Amino acid sequence: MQVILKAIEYYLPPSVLDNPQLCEVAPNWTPQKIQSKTGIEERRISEDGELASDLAVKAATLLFESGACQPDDIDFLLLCTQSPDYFLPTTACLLQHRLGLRTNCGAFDFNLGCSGFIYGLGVSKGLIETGQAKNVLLITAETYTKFITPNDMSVRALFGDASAATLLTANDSEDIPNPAIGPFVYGTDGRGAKNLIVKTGGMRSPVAGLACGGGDEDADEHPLVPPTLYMNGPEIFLFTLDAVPDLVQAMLDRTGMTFDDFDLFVFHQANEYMLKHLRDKIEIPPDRFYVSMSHCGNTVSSTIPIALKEAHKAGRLKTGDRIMLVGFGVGYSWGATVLRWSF
Amino acid sequence: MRNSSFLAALHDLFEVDAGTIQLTSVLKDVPGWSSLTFIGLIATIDDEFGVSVSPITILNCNTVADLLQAIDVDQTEVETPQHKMAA
Repeated sequence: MQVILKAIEYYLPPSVLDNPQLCEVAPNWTPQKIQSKTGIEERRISEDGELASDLAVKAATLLFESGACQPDDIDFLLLCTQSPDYFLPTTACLLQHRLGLRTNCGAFDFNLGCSGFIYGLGVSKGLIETGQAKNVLLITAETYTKFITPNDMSVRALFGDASAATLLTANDSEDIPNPAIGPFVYGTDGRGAKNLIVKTGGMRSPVAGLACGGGDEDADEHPLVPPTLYMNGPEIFLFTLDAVPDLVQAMLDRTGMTFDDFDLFVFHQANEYMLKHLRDKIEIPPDRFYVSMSHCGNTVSSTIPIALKEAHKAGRLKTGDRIMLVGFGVGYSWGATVLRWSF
Repeated sequence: MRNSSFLAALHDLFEVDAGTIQLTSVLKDVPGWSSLTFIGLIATIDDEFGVSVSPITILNCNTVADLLQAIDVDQTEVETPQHKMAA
């Protein structure tokens, strides 16, 4: 019994923020410059009141409509998000009900960003290969744009909202090489927490009017600062220069493989300029390094499943292909695995 | 030679006409200096010299010549890996 990745669908909210729109508020930028320094042409922005859970419902519905599975088939739901509906209950419980999943279905959220899809695959493999679940619905859903102030152009230029729904299922067939997912390499360095962070809104810095029940009596102690994303882009880039080449090497060491053994490399789609620099630094062959983010930007934990889906649509993946997946970012947190394409 | 190669790379990065950037140029006054090009500058230094220079080090440099000097220091330091992979 082994886990395979059986299907991926993703959903982008319809509202578009393109480079000419960004330049209207950043006169020293040009659309060409944003394109050349990020690889992004447009990002999708969730509406006011449209939450990560709403995007998750849309992505999961697309998965069910594709015929890959039905709600009744799912016996475990994993939701990777840093934009939950509430402190509690866990948003995955709300989704169990909204998606019409069985009540004898396990469900929980985990809070990770750009490394989240890798960790979700790791947990799914554990659940399925120990017989705890047969069909895991792994949803990544994020609305970072709600954390971004309108004048923070460097962050607005990068992030878009999205959700991806991935079906992991138990497989007995010998058609798919074993392991179909794995091994895994993980890493964490909390010293980098301050470089990509939403500081307010949690217990360390509650927000008046949000955490304090809407009254003004605590306003002095808890100033009304909406939860805002802070990103130190150069520090994050420096982290990736240090961590990602070692991460890829650790995976090669673990598997005993070389670049030639891989059909495709799919990294977290952080920023195309940065990715190409990493690719060249690590000396990954450009024709096997897949980038797909110009249509949606950096969608955090959904970038890898979106790029996989696009690579499949573009005919770049066939059954049995070996793909190295590499996620890295907020935390700092990172992880990599090897996926055998199975559809 | 080393300086001219780096200056040429800076012209490519900032997309400015040849001769715009000199060793005496103040980094933050280079046309096109922004958060986007800051990341590009770290990448360019990594390409040219094979070292990852921290953003703080770059921000402490006034001119291109200061930056080259800081890179020299980084290159001669014994590097200790900051991030260890979990086995």
